[in-house]
Amino acid sequence: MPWDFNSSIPIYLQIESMIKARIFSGEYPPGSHIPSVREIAQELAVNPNTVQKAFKDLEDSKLILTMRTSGRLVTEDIRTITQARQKDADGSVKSFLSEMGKMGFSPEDVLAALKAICEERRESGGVC
Amino acid sequence: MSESIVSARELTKKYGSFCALDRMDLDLPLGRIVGLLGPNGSGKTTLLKLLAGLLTKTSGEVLVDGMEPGVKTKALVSYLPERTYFGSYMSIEECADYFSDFYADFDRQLAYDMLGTLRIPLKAKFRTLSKGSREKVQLVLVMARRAKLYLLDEPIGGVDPAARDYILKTIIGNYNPGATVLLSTHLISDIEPILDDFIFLKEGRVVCAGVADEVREAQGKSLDELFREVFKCF
Amino acid sequence: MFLKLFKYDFKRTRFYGLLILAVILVFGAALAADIALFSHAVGRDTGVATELLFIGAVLFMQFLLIALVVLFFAIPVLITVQFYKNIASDEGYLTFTLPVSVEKILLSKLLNAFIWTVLEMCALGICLGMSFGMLEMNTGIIWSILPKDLWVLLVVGLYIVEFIMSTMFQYLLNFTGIVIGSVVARKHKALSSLGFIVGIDALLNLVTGALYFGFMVMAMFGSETGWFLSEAGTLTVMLIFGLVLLLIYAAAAVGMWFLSRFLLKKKLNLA
Repeated sequence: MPWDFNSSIPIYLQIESMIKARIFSGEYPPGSHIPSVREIAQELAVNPNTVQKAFKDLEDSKLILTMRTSGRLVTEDIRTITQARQKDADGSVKSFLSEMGKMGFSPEDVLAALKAICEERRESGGVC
Repeated sequence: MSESIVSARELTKKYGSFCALDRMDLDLPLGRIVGLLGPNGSGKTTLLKLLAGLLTKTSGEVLVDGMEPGVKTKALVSYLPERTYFGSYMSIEECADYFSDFYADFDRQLAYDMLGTLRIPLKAKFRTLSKGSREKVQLVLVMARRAKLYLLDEPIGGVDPAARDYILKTIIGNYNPGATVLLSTHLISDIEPILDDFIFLKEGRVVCAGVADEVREAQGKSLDELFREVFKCF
Repeated sequence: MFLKLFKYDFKRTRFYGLLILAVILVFGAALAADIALFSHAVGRDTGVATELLFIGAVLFMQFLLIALVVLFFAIPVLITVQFYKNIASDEGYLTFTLPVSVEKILLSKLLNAFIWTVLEMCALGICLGMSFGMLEMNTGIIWSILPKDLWVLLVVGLYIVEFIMSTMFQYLLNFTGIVIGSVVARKHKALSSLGFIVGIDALLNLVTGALYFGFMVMAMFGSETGWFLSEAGTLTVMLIFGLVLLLIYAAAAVGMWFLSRFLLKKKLNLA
């Protein structure tokens, strides 16, 4: 099924995020093969050149390595992955806090809200 | 530009006093999927037909792979019109034979594979197929050619969403850096994720053109939004 | 490429074409049987039953002859309509995106028309053969009145050639009418094509009619001076007349070929 893209944001950035998410979550484990440009383009129903651009960015940031004979692999360097993951996470948190800030919540407010929600989850037998 | 698969200078096409293409300038490089976007009557079909060699220009210059549209360019251009162009008496297999006979770049196995995926029987006659199936078959045969320029006129218009997805996937799957796909449509939001470049056409002139992702990056707008802006009716 | 084009044109005509030819042969056989009956009844018993049989046979013969004439035109109509569909309807999108020259497209269709004209002639020949054969069997008339000179074959041969040439000319005319009609009209291409076919036909008739008129005038003038009535005079005038007529048709054919070619190359107008 085609990925639901936001057509107002550069698509190559969205593809990058998606691939990074798959790397961070372990769907593409370190050292494993990544599907080709064509396969991803078809899966997502997007232009292969756009996928190519996303791949290039990921190569530049060393998350992906292109081998002449064996195609594209996720890096085996766990540190690179962790650092990238952290950086993205930090970025997400920062924009989340800024969003909450626009609604009038300070970081302390947000922390308190998080704790409360976690409590609720634990009480109903979930994980936090 | 030797890399351009299509180049036009001051290209004009008139029907009597009506000007369908008005001194148009165009350069399309190889290896791109280009969207030809514009309201009805803006000249999209006229341009595609001209490039396919079905119409002759009134004035100006137009070159396909460095040559004027003619017998030689037809061998490397694969054209999909909006309408059914196979004789309704032909069977799917005969249509494939036809393409195979006249086009050296036709990949019969690829066509059969795609038709198999669509579960369309080869012996079926064209006239027995539904409209949607006919359009898919034509698209399959057109895309099964290893052409240098694909001209698709409204490939997803009037087709159900599932068929639309299939058609878009086929266009993407067939993509190769040695070819360019020029497709016209008014269903912009469906098609924009697969476009490299876009051209906005209004009353026979290019009013806006560029790279899709650059618009998103620089203006934070989708092509659909940009289109509405450029073509808004008061 | 040319032979490939021809292959498809022929295949397309083949289904209905063979059907029509088969029906022609069937009717031809019926006619021959009828003639056998008819010629058998002639000059025998004059009982009422035989009279009725006689009348029945004659009526049936009329019907068959009319049917054969109609069937004879079925193939030209079939081929002309298929030309129209291939060139002027949506199929034109396919025809004119093929990497083949306009000349090859036109020639392929003319060759197809020619082949079917020959086939039709063969079928008619067989029908004639069957009918005359029956007549000959029962009455022996044919062989007795047939002049046994070799020049009969020449005359028959010339008739056949003339027939083929005039049929091909008509095809070229129809094709040209369709090309002009479909280039000129944006809607109602079929009507426009028909109009031009009739129009070109009429124009040609006008020109040849003028020629006849001129011939008449010359005949009147000639009869005044007495020169016309001499054998040499008559022969010369007829020869000249024949040649001019031939020239007109040749020029028309050449003109139509180049016009069609030009229009399809430069003025193609597929809606």
